[in-house]
Amino acid sequence: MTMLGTPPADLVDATAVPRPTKLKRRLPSSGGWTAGALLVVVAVVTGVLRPATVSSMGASLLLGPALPLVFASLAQMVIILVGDFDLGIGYAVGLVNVFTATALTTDVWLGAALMIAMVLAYVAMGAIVELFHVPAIVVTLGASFIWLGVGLTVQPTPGGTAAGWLETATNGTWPVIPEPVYIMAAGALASWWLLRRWRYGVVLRALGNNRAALENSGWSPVWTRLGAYALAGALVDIAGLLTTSVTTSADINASATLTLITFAVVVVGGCRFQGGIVVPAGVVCAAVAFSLLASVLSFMNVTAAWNTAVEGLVLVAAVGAKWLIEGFRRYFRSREA
Amino acid sequence: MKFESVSLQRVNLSKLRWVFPLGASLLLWMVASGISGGVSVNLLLDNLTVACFVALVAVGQMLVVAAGDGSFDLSIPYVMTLAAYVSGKTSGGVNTHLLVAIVVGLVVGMAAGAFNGALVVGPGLPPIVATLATGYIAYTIILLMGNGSQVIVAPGLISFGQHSWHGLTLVVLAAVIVLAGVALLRGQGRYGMYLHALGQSRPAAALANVPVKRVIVLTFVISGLLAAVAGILLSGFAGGAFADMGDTYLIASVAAIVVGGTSVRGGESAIGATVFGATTISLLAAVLELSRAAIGVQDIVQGTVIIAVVVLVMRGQR
Repeated sequence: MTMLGTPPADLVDATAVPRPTKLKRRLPSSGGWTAGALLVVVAVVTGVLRPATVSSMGASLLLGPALPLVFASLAQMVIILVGDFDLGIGYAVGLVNVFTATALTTDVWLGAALMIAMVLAYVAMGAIVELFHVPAIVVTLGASFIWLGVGLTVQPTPGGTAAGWLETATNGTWPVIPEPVYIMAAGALASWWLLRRWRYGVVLRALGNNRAALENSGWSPVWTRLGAYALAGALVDIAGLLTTSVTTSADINASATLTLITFAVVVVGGCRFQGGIVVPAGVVCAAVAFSLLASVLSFMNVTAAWNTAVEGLVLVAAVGAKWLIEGFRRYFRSREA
Repeated sequence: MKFESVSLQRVNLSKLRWVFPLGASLLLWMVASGISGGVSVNLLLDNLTVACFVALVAVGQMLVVAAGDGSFDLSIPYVMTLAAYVSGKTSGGVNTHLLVAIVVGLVVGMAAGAFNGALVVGPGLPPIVATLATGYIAYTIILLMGNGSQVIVAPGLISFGQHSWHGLTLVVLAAVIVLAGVALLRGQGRYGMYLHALGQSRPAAALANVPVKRVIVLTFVISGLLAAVAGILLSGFAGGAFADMGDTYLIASVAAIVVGGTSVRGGESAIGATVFGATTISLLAAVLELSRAAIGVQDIVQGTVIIAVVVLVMRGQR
């Protein structure tokens, strides 16, 4: 959160030379290799433990439930990109789940309007954060209670149904590889293009990385943050819609646990918590890996209680490994010099 | 090199800041009395006990927030429950080793805080992520220890937690003593000065030879300790420890700081204002409950109040 207290060292350097330069396109990043490796390991272990999963049908059944986490993590990635944290993302996805398993089923237009309202709510959160300099964590924590309250008001107990078209949408048979893989790849590609190739994507990344450079280049940090929150809101909508298509029911509490996992996924996926760096493919790989990890634990007859601890430990291990690697790099560089 | 965005702010808090949350508390007491028919001192005292649990964790949260750099302690609810569980299990539900059990519970809280601090100053995890990770690890231990049910606590702890003298409970007394200790630590020694310096500008504090890492770790340890005190007292008050007993205290701790008027951007702390913020939050919950509004509506109101108040407070500080 660059707006809280100290700016990162690179920002201070940049402010010393205020000149309207083009924003840098690429920033150094560890890339999504950690996440890719983790995914391969977890997938191989899954295949060895349960050979039946190594088929189009088996993979489809395993990967389908990973879809909400993939898109929730991409949404969290966008929020972290601009230097914020979303502590309400679990309930936000849950609320869209409730909307799309109740209103959308009976009236497509009402459902669509509610989903647009969710995007606007995210824009409003971004406006509060940017205009009043309130830490995003307080706003999103407060908002999480609003999501929960609205969700409980609409659907007090788990219930509702998915529209027929929505249920079949993710269960289709697609050529060569299972359908969930197409959807995940589309999410990764779209985010990659939006954030790494599109000209405005550079602006979004600049806000989290180098706010001064952004302002010197003549861009408005207000509109940039609103844009990022709108994109995150749209991704939350997709995550909620996919939750409904996977679970075919409305339950505001079912998605609550997503919040912590998205943080773990984003950091293992190769993004930087201080903002500025995004690796959509890494985030998608990490999301699938975390989702499979839960299956692996249940295949090994480990109590479900361990899931949360394993997720917490993987997060700590991933960050610890990064810290060690950077330490070694610095050590060897100092020896060369 | 220029440090443009780094400027030292005035440490001087408005000394009268606690007046506003105190006024809000009294107003809510009147509203509650209006709903329930007749001014009742007992209603206020009942809520005072509940507010003490909030106040204890909120003061810990406030110190963490004061360290700046977007620090928050999200492990509080889980540390509360874990301390209550460990202390309950250690005592085995009997009075013989009650004191030992309480000390063990407090040590667990401090250890969790130290783990938080180590993750923050070591690998440089953002505090939010570090404390979430700690919290979820603690939650797993809770699930594994309790087998999904409650943990029995010693009868001595229960009679302490529920003992009341004309509605004034021993919990209130214990909370006042503990918070007075924290106030002494913050106000008298170097710790408070270091903490505020850290929250206002890390680079400036480091240049001024503030032991940044030690202060951060100590702050998380205090927060863990206060969470443990609140958790153990709560298990006595509630007559047992439950897996989800701490759940509502995370949002309440942040809300108490916000309502107390302390900046959530760090660099300042106000214990009195935060305590009255805690009473305001507790009375707000009581009023909502008395109004018999649907549970969903209660959540919406609480969330809206937090966002609205934080916007008002932050606007006033610009």
